[in-house]
Amino acid sequence: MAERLGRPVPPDQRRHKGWVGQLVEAALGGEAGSAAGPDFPHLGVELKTIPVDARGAPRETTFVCAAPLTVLGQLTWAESPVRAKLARVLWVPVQADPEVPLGERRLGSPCLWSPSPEEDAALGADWRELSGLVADGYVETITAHRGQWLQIRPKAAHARIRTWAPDDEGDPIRTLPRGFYLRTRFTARILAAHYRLPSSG
Amino acid sequence: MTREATGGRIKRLDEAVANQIAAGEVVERPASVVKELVENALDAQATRIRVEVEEGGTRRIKITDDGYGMGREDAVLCLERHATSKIQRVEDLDAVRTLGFRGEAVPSIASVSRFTLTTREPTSDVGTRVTVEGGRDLLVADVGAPPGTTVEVADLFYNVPARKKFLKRPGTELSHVSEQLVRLAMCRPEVGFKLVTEHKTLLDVPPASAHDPKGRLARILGADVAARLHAIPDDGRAYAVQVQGFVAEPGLSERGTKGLYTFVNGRFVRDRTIQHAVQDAYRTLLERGRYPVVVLFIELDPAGFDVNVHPQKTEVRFARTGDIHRAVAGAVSRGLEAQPWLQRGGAPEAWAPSPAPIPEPQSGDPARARTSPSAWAGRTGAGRYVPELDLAQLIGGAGPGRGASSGPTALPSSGFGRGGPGAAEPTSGPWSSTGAAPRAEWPASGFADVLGEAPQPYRATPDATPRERMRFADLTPIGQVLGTYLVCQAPDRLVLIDQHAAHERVTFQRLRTQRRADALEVQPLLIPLVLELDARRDNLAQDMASGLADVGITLEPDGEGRWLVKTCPAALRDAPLERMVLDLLDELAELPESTAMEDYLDALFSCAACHTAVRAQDRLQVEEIRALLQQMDEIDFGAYCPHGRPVFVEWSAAQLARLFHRS
Repeated sequence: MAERLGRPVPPDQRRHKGWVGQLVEAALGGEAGSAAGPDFPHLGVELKTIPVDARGAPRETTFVCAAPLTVLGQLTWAESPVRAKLARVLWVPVQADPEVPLGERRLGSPCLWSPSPEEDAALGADWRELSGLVADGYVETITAHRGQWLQIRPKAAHARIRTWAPDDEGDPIRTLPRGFYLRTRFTARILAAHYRLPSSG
Repeated sequence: MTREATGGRIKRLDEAVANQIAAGEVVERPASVVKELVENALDAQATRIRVEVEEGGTRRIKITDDGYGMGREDAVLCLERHATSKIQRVEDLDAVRTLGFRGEAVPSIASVSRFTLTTREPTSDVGTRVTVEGGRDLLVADVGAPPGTTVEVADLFYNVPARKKFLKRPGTELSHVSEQLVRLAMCRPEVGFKLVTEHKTLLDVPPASAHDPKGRLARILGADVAARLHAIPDDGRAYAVQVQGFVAEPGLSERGTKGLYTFVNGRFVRDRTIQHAVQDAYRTLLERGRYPVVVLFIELDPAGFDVNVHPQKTEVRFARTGDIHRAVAGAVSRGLEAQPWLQRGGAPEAWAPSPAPIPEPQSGDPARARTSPSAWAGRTGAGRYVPELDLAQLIGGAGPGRGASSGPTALPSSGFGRGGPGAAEPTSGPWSSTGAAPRAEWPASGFADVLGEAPQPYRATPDATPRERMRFADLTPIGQVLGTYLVCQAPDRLVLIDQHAAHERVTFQRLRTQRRADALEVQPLLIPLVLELDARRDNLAQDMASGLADVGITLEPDGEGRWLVKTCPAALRDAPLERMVLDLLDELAELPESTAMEDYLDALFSCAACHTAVRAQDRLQVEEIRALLQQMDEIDFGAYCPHGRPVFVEWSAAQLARLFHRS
C-alpha cells in the first residue's frame, strides 16, 4: 500500500507514530485528520486502526480525540467529541507483531462498528466522571486508572507542550494536553465480537 | 429392401420360438417365474399363495393359489402370447392397477419348461388341466381340482441349454426366489404367503395382518430387523405423491441396495430416482458405501408413471421425477428427523436427572487445560473435570447396574409410533385395509442389542404412557475412559458417548442448518491467514475458491503467489484453520465432477466439523460435557456422526446384570 501511495516505509514507528493510520486514511481518501469530527464526514465514519499482536490482542490503547480541558464541564455526553468520533467507526486491525517488519505487516479485514446501547451508556458514564473531574479542577490528579472503558492521558508530542485547564478554584492553570483513549479491554471486546481471532485456532 | 427383393427369405417365426425369445426378457431365472406367477395369483384375488420349490426352482416350481381361477377357454388362451384379461385397449395402460398386463409371462414360461396349469373357477364343477412342453404339444383335460389355480413349472430351461448354464447353484436361486416373495408379501398384507422347499418352510406369513404392519414385517424380515424399522410419521398433509412406510435407524444398513424395498402403487420397483431420494435423506447418517433399509409405499396417479418399460416391470418411468424425489426424500427425512430410535418407553420422570453427585477430580489429576469450544456455554473458571475411569473398574465396580432398576421395567408403551410424538402409523397404503390396530407385542427398539443380544420383547399395556424421546441432557456424566469416551448414567442404563463424534455431529448439523436457512454465520479473520500452497493445491485453490466460499471460507490470492484466508464460519472458530483449509481443498479434489450441491456441502461441512470437534485425549470439564449433551438434544440426528458412525452405545441395567450373571 505504501508503495502504491508513494510513501517510504519508516524503519520503525518510534519517530513516526500514527504512520500506519495515516497511510490507511490516505488510501481511503480520509479528510478530517485529527479534527473533532469524523474522518469521513460525508459518511459519518471515523477510521481507527488497531495494532494487534500475534494472538489478536490490541497492543495499545486507541486514541479517540484531544480533550478540550477548558470546556469539558460545559459539554454533555451527547455533545461530546468522543461520542461524535465513536458514533460510527471503521476498525482496521493492523498486524503489529514486533517480529514482523513494518513494511511486511498486513491489514486485517475492516469492521464497521457502532456502540451498542450498553456500550454507549458505559462510555457516557466514563465521560461524565472524567469531564466532571477536569471541570472541578482535578485534571492533575486523573490517572490512567480512571474510567472503565475510556481514559484520559497526556497527549503531546513532547513534555514541554502545555495547554490551559481550570484549577479547583476555576482559575486557569498550565498543564499537559490530554487526550481520550479507549482501553485495550474495550477494543479487545469489539474484536472478539466481530472476528475470528488467531488465538482461537 | 422389400420382401419381394429378398425372395421371401424373411419368415414369420414359429409361435414357440417367438415365445422362447420373449422368455429371454421375462424369464431370467426361477425367481422371475415365481414373480410372474405369484403376481398373476394376486391379480386373481388370491388370499393365500403357496410356493414350493425344488433345487432352488431349477427342478420344480409349484405355485398354488385360491384365486378366482379360469374356465377351460381362458386356461388355453392364457398360453397364447399377448392374451390377457387385464387390459383391452391402449388407453388402459394409463390406468394399470394390476401387476401384470402384457400377456407375455405364461406363454414365455411355458415355452422354456414343462408346464402344467390346473385351474377351476369356484362356480364351476370341473377344473381344467393344460400341459405344455417347451411351448408345444398342448394337452387340455377336464380334471377335478380345488378352486383357484396351481401352476407347476418343471425343468426350467431344459430346452434352452444356453440359458440353463447361466443359472446359479440352487442355494443362490432359492435366495432370489425368497427375495421375490418377501417383496410381494410386504406390499400385499391381506394375502398369506408360504414358501416351502424340499427341506423346510422358509416363509410363512398369514393373511389379514394388515392391522399390525410391524408384526408383518417381523415375520417377513425377522424380529431384529423389524424392531429397528420405524414408521414414517404422518404429517397430516395431502400430497399428489403419497409416501408411507418404514425407515430403519441408521445403525441398520446394508452394503448394497438389497434393503431398499420400494413399491409404487403396490408394485416393487427399482428406480434410481427413488434410491437417490432415500440416500439423500440418509446422507451423513450412513458411512460411505452403506445403504439403509427402508420399506416405502409410494402411491400416485397411475397416469403419472409408465410401468411398460421392461417386461419384468421392476423399472418404471415417472412423468415427474422431481415430484417423486421430493416426496420420497421428504417422507424419509420426516421419519429420520423424528429419531424414533432414541425414543424410550416409560414416564418422563424415568429420565429425570440423577441426583448422583459428580466426583471431584482425583488429587494429582494431570488434567490439562484446553481451549474451550467457544460455542459451549456454562464453563466456569474453576472448571471441574470428570475423572478418568478405568474400564475394568467401571464395569466391575459401582456401575449403574447396582443402583439402577433391574431391567427395562419402565417400558410401558403404546407400541411403536402410536401416541409418541410425531410417530403415527401410516393411515393408507397397503396396511390400511382394516381399522384401528390393537396393541401388539414386538421388540423394543434402540441400541439394546449392542452386546449382540436380541432385544427383549415386552408387552404393551392398554394404558401405556406415550414414549419419551431420550434426552442426552438428562444423562449424568460419570467419567471419561480411554480419553475418548464419556461415561454417562441414566436411571436405567449406562451410556458411552464418543466425544469426538458427538461434537462433530453438533458442529456439522449447526453448519448445515445455518446454510439451509441461508444464514451461515461467517466471521472475518482479524488478520488474514497466509497460505503458501504447493503447485497441486495452488491449482485446486484456483478452481475451488468459489466452492469454499459456499461454506463460508473466503480464499483469495494475495498477488504474490500466496493465498489469503479471509473468512471462516463462526461455528468453526476453534478449528485449526490452516490444516482445515488444506484438507478441504483435498476433499474437494476427491469429489466427483457431478456431485450434487447438497452432497458437496455436506462433504465440506463434515470435513470442517471433524477439524473443529474435540479430540480423543482431550479432557473435558463437567460443564463442557453437560453443554455437549445439551447441544446433542438441540440438533437432529444427534445419534450419528456425519460419517454415519454411532455417537453413543448403551447397556440397559438388564443387559449389565446378564453380563454379570445376576438373576
